Amino acid sequence: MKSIEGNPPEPRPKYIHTSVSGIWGKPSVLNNVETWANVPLIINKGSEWYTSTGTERSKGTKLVSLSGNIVNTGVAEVPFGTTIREIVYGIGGGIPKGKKLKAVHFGGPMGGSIPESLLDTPLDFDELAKLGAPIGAGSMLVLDEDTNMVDVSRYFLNFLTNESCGKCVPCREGIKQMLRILNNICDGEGREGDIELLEEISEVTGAASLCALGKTAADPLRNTLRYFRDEYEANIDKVKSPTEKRE
Amino acid sequence: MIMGKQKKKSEIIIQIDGKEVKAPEGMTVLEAAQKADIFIPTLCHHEKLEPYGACRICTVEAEVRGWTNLVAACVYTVEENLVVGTRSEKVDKIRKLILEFLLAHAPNSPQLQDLAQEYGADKDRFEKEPSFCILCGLCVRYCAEVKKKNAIGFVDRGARREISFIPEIASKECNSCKECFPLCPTSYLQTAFVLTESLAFPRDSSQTALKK
Repeated sequence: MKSIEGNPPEPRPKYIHTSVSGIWGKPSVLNNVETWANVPLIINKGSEWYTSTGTERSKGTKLVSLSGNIVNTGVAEVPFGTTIREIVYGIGGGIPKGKKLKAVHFGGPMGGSIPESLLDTPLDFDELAKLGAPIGAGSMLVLDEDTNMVDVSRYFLNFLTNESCGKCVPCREGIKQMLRILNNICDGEGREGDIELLEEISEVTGAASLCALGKTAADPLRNTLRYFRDEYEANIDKVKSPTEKRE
Repeated sequence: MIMGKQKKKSEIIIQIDGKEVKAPEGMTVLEAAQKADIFIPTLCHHEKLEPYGACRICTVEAEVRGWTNLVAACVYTVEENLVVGTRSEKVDKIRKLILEFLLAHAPNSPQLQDLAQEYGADKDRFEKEPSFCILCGLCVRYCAEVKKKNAIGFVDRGARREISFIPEIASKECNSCKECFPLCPTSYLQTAFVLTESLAFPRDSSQTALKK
């Protein structure tokens, strides 16, 4: 919105809802195109028709974009409630070269992954949010057994360090320090205490940042620490990680 | 104050650290605390400038209707039934880490050192950074909002964000002003100015040598 007004794209400092005061001080509704695309369907066919598809709390369908280690990449429209396994192995056609699946990452660089063991979870906002993997805009990145999860966190943080506007300290400095530690770990120079330090920094950036980017920047990291902590430990211990980093 | 409007802004009573504080509607938590002589640390705040909310050192706990949030006191406005805690384990932890991030840039800043002592921040916790600037933006905002000159601005973003004088403006405006210099919590601003001056609009070196 600041960009539309011709200003630098930095978050607004005050606690104001855009629905009260948005672009040029006027009430504004900010939504994804997908959300808007659902509106005519609901108006034309009625809410009863619309809510007949989906789960109790997530209604209708969702566009998911499949990418990563998957046979069929692309965008698919699926009803809410479909299990992740059906999406990956049914629509997606499974993992290439007969490899095993390690994780499915949702929501892009500020999202989270679920491990193979939770693949029967239905596509549902609440169910996945509970697991630390928000559906977000529907991106599903499929990761096979060769993936190093520490490297995945590093990749996302590296992306976010360029996306951060740099205005507030927790986001700007926090991402930089977390990335530095992850780079060390990936380069085989991890030290004892690194995981604890990552946890401390991610907690502070999550709590104290100015906008949603900073608040969620460490989510993939926190999430991979939740399900794949052993990979971090293995990388630090200089014991060969179960999946050696691919160069 | 808008003179045309006769209606007085309604007073709100909030609690800060157990103390009842009266504050007019629209006032920030930081201003309300200052009015009641309750100290909340700040780095990017300046009374002459618009609230900015960037350093996050003023983070406090704000409880409304049973929900507690961590908010920046300099931009969060008072509301009915607000209960503010300026110190807690969570708040102190955030302030300590923010200080440690900034001390990696400016370990000798007296302002940072004082706060570091209060919050037990270790100035050597993170690898030292090449730039002293903590990007509080006081210089940039003072020049834009008070002087309306925009002789200095931010360039780039994220971890590469920095301040930079705009030579075309700085060469005309800065030597007779320099009001932003004392606002800088580190020595970076002066350094940046001298660098810009020597590269873009150097004073005649023979003259300055003779004057001395």
